[in-house]
Amino acid sequence: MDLARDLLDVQLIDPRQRPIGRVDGILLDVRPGQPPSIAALEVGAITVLRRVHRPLARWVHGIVLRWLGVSWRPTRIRLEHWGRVGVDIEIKVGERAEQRLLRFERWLSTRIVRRLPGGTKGTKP
Amino acid sequence: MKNLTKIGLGILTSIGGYLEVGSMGTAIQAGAAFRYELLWAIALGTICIAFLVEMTGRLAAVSRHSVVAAVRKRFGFRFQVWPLLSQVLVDLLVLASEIGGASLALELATGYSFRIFVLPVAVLIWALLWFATFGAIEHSVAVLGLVTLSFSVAAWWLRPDWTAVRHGLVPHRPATDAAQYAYFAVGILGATISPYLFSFYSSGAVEEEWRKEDLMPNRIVAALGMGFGSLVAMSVMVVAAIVLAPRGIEGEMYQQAATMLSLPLGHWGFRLFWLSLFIGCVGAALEIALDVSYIVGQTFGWAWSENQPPGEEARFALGYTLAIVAATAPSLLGIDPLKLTMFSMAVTVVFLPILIGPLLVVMNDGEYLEEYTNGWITNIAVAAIVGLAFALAALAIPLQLMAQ
Repeated sequence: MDLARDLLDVQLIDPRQRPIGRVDGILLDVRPGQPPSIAALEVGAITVLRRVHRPLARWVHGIVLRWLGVSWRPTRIRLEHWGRVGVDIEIKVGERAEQRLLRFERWLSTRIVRRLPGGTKGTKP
Repeated sequence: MKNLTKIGLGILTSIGGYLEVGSMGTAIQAGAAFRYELLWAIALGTICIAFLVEMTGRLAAVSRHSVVAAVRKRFGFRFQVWPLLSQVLVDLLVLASEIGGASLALELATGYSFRIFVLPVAVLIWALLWFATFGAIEHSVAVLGLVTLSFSVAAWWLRPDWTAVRHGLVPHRPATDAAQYAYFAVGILGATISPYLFSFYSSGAVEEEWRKEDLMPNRIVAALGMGFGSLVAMSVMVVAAIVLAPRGIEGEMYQQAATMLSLPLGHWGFRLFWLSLFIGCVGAALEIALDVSYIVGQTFGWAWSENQPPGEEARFALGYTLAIVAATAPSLLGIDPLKLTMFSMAVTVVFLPILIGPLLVVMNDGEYLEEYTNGWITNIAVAAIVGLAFALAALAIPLQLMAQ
């Protein structure tokens, strides 16, 4: 497998076939005397930003830390269970990883969107 | 019957290409200044956009992926960040123009300044996206969009000189004012070949769960949908040529141009004019605001669908909400919608190559398209369109400067 071609930027889907993010980065485990192996996949805007422009990613990270008091880190997923579904990779993510991947979505949904009229489930026929 | 409803996606898509404020405005001005002589630019734009729409619909039907998703996978984020940023910029500028255009239509209808309508129009667009499903938006806009056929009725009723129309359909050099003529030609092509059309269309095809069985309907929808838009845009130009040109009205002011349907259609003509403008702008605004949510969601691999309640896909809802808020600002700040439209059209043209270019690679990717990759005809077509996009991008700014 050619990592950059076959794994990087691939769509991730959870066991319910819902899109859950993309492979934004790959962490390699490099040990002397052994071929490098995949340690984890990284998912997160800060990882893709680092791929485009490292100083900019550092700057954004600093701003978020200073203003929001949050250390903006990507989610790391172990590549344990995966399979192919069409052109997508299906990755079974654990409960904790799924929660981390969807933390902004869930925060936005429960704190703001669901409190607005029409924001709740079942309103669209 | 099920296939008949698919045409809705084609019509909604074509509204964003032909009946939005920029395309209508350029068709009116070009018709008033050069009569039928620039009909070929609409025809050429239609051929280009029909090819692009068919391709991206095919990609969606075979792979169940939109064009943005495929570009990110094939080119990686380091490349894709540029088309993404340029398309978001283009979308926001054009969305701002449409909100201004719809407000202008209400100014024509009521006589009150467009400024007081900007906020209500923005709230209307947002509420439709928030509460309605994709299908409901698609079908209602497609049906209401048929109002614009009143331009075709008017054009027919005015009995155009068909020999001159035929001559106008073939590209040729103008008798006078070549710079102005080239400026309009670039404007028409740039307003027609809008990048959000095919990213929206392929996302819509994924929303509608098109399958390989839909490849034939996809071709028909691409041809008929774009044909519909093209017919209306040509009719607008013909009516402007017959009504406005002999009276020396240049069509730069919508207030004057709005009377162009009154000659053939009486007092209903004026109402149909502002109604067409309003429906075209609101339809295009819905399409473009959704497009922002689509391309951002697809780039980052989030769940994206207009059919889910906002609470289920909060980031998707946040995308179009922020887009509408950002696009409302220019009109609220008092920027003239028509100046904004001209500016956003020029920006669109400049970014065309980077947005269309990747299709050459993606449409030949067997991983996504299996045995349905581009054949030699479609590959030559994309290559020619990319070439045209480069030429337009190079010409846009000098022509804009010369025209002023």
